[in-house]
Amino acid sequence: MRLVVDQINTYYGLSHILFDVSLDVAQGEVVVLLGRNGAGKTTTMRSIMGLTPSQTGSVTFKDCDITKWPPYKIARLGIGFVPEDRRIFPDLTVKANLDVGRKGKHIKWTYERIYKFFPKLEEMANRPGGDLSGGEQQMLTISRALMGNPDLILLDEPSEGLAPLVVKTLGDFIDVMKQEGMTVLLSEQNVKFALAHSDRAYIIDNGQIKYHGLIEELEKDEEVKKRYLAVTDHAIPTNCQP
Amino acid sequence: MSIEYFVFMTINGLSQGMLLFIIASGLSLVFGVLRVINFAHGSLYMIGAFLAFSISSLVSGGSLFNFLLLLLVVPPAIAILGFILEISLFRRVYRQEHLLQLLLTYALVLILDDLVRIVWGGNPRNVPRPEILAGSVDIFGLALPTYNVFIMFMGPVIALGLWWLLHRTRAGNLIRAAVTFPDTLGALGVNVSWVMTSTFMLGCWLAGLGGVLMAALANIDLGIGMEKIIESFAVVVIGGLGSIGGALLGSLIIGLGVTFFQLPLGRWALVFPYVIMALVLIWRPWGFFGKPER
Repeated sequence: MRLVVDQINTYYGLSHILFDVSLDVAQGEVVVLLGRNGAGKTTTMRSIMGLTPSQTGSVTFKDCDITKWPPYKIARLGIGFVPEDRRIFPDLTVKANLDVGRKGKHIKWTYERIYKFFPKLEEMANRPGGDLSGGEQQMLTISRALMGNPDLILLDEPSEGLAPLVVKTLGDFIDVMKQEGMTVLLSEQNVKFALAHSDRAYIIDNGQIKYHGLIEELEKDEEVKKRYLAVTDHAIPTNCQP
Repeated sequence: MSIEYFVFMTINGLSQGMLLFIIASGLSLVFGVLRVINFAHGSLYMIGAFLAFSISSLVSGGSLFNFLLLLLVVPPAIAILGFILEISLFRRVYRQEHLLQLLLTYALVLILDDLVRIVWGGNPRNVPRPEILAGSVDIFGLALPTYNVFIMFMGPVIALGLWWLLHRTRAGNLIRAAVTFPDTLGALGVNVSWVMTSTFMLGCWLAGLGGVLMAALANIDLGIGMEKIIESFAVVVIGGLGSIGGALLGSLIIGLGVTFFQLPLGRWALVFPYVIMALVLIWRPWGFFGKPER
């Protein structure tokens, strides 16, 4: 049960977004894909999920070449997807949102278990999903994906826009999923958060993988962190300011 | 205006409105999920009505059993026709420009309407009402046609059934999820194409049901499809595209309005749906129960 992304090239229309992106995630690992806004994190996730399939290269999961599979088949093979913009179904109740994520029988993740981790979701079970706060919506999106009992979960920038306390809950939950033996591929801009909960890291910039290594190595590598992850890099030249 | 006249016209208008609701809710439901306005919906309803006529003349007679047979056979037959149309044609125009979708559904109107002309001819037809529904019932001392009262009650039954299906079943959750974020639904492991096909079939089933009910209500001819698609279109504009509650409200407004204006205005009553539609478009372009486009 391994995810292998091998030299994929993905386009949006005519724009070339991903250039020979390769990465792999082994069973039970938590791997983070770090990068700035627009670096290609979301496109990588969407390419794995089949939402924007790559033109060349391949995505392999459980020894199946899923590059050109439709998203619903990829999901059924055991990949759960948590999109960056969450995409809660606003008119459906919280419980119905969870129900939609269910694929047949409950094996591991049941309503009871989800509610145990996120009591707020039980409280709001019969309210429309659109009524939830940002943090609650993020928990619901993750829970909705878990209802399908995936072996691998793709979390696209889960900490984005969340209050620090909620980010902590999220981090704890990632640790829980890891203890459950789940495999996690995480994309993040929040370096501190990402490094605290992952085993390995890839850094993507301008649609290319620039670095990969263990978290301990990356933490020591100030040069790499500064070059690809620091936000203050792009100072606007004074002569360009109005 | 006597009270008797008022009650009589109200019952008549309500039954017209409920028949219209059964048809228009199918149009609205299909638009909600597929984002295609199926102008051929009226033609499917007309085929349902003529099919009911053919089957009823085969089994001859207006027994309750025969009428139930029509209700059981015709709507699924139209749903199967819808299945064929969806997988062969409609599927190709999702997410295409509106103009292409309009061309397809309008071409289907022309083709299906001509097929009806070839198969059934231009003579007015009807289906005998079952005896139990053929007479009249006494309400407030007024003798009202039982069949109209029957249709008046069918509307709420269908409305409740649709509401239950959409809000209380997993199938309904999937349909409503497909309305907002079809891609996300697919990424959760749901075959969205199948949700769309099923929804289209449900819409066609409703058109077929409306056809059977209409065939025993009044004479059917080649014009009924066009008449009902225009009224249904007005209904969904008034109520909001994709909203079942809106379709119910819109149908009642159109049904009651056309009925009440028929006597004083005669043929001019036909402009009523357009006037209401225009007013709603000016005041609230997304309809009573619809939502503004994001």
